[in-house]
Amino acid sequence: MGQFLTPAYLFGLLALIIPLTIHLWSQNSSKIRKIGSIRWMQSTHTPKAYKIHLHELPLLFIRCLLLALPCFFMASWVFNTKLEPSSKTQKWLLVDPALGGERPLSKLVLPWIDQGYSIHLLQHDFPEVDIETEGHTITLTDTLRPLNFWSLLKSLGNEHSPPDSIVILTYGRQHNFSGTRPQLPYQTRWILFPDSLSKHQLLEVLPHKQDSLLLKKGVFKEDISQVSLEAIAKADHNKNNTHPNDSVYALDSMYIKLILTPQFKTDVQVLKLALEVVSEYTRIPFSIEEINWEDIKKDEMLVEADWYFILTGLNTAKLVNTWDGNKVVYAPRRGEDSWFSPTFMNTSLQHLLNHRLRTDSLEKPEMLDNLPQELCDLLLPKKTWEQSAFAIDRRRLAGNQIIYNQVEKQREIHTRYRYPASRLGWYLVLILLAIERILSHYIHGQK
Amino acid sequence: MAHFEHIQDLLKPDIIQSLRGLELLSQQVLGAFQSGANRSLRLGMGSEFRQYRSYQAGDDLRQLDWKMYARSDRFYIREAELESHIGLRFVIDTSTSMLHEDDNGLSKLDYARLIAASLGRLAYLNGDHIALYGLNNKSPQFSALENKSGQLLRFLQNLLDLKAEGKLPEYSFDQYIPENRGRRLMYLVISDWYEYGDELKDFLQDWQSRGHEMMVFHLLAHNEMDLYYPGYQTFEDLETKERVQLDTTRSKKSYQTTLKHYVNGMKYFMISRGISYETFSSWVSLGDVLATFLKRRKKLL
Repeated sequence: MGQFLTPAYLFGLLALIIPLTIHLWSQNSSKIRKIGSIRWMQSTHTPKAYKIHLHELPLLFIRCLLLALPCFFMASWVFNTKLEPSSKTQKWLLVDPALGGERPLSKLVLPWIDQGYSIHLLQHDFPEVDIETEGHTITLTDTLRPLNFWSLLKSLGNEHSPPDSIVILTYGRQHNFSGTRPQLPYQTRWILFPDSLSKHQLLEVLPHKQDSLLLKKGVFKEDISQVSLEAIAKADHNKNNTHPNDSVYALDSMYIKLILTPQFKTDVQVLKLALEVVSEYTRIPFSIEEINWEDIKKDEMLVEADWYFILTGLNTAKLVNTWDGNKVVYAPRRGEDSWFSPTFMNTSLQHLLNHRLRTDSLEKPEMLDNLPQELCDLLLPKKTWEQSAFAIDRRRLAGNQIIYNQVEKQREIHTRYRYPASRLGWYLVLILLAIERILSHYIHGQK
Repeated sequence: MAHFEHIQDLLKPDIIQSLRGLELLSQQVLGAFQSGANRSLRLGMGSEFRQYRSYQAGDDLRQLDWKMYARSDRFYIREAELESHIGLRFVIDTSTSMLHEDDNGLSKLDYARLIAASLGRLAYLNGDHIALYGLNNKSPQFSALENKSGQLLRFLQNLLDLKAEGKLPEYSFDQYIPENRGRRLMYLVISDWYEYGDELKDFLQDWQSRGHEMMVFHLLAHNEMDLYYPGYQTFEDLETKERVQLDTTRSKKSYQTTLKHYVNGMKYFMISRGISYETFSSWVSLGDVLATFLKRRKKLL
């Protein structure tokens, strides 16, 4: 059977009182025909109309339907096209390890255990958690290192036989959703725990027009979600220095991978120092990891990093394209003023680092002093944007993707369920309206 | 053949309910009815002088005007319009039920006015004496007219003054319709025939037994006959104010059968007693009404 995703709209069904009242009222207040005598009518022995007018019932039904259907559609009436999961179906509850550190896990997961879910941690290899033996707490091993949930879930689809149903409990912080959202081969339901529940949650910040931003704010109360849009002006925004990333985001930590060949070891040290300065200045913890280019297998997918700095001097374009995250390729050129220049490489946006990082070979050594500031501009969103977006925009998403409890739920439903509230549904309403008019004319038109 | 189609456009409440309108309509109805016929006055002995003409052999010598002969030394025959001794009495039911309106907005009383006006004009032109009775238990009306010029307009005005209220008198009509003893009259009863007992039938039988010629025009509205009110309806009796709710779709057949039986019963009752009976449902029936009227009038001549 169907279900309603936003059942609050069902309050609209109260409007059904209107046609019902009209129909009942009309029994008593029908137009009175004055005629010479009713003697022949009294003797016809036909039933008197003191109850429901049976021939008007179809009209009443259609009128009720006209009010009810839009309510159903607005309440997101969906039908599950899949068979109900049998008892043998595999149901996983993936828990963000970060959640276990702050609240008793049992409170979160017990309702799911009752529904037959097995509890797994949302980290590498998805270790199963036994609530009984763990004693209501989770031992977190890898929480310091930011995980990219997109990659994890992608690997779950690739490497494991995916369960039939996945529910994910998470804070949904920015760093956990690096890169664009992949197409997952199974159904997921996200249940997000906002760090601090406020009435209006900022969901997403998007570039709106040239000089303004669009803030998506949401109100979340259990099953009710409403999203509102608000445009704000970009203060102090330099149009000529547009941030290369279209989607604006804020960070509470950043994971950076430096991929290098031995010849650039010195350059990397300079870069690393600059990054540390940025981290210290912005008070955002940077997790910086160095990886040797030789150690990366060609078919390996690099995951989890927010930024990749590639200092190899090799043509890595093909390989780089398969990695999620922002990429900076070290390609010093003479006569280039700007530190970083965005460029498309095989349709993928990358940034070229145009200046050499060795102090001994720099034409203007003092330029190196600007590197932290340049990095700050590259890695972090504008301060003015950041202030609005920092609080809740924890995930970086492509386009207008919003993943929040209800919104995400609805999006998944799109693929999983068949919506009767499609355009055809509204056509049905129009057809019903026409039938109602014709019936009404037929029944009442000559009154 | 009578052509009444063009009259249909004139059948509007505001026309019928005005003196000029009613006069025009009665003219039109008669014009349509008598189209192609040249009306000639019946001349002969009478009190109303019409003309002199030269004497011709075979003329009644009693008609010779001797005074003219003395003055002109020639024989002249004095001609006068023949006077009719027919007395025509219009008895119009003016109970409230006559306010029933047809689909075109005309009430039965309007139709009664139109019939009476047309027949009244016809009778007037034929030299008949006419009188009008408006019959109800609240404000009965009576007006008798002599056949003199200008009286037709008075008759039409009296028709317009008829006011529908109350219901038909329950008992003898003697107090409402005074009998003109010693003179044979023609009574034309125009009614929707919603009587509570047999008061109208008794009246017809009673007055017929006194030697008068009785004619009945039974008014039936179109919507009344067809019950053309779709769906459930609340009907209110104009006289009793009683109400009934009815599914006309389901009751229509039964209602029409009952009404038909009633009309057939009425027809049988009238014909079996030698009373002319015509149902009048619209302007189309006007020709039948006039033809019936003339046929019956001829019997009195």
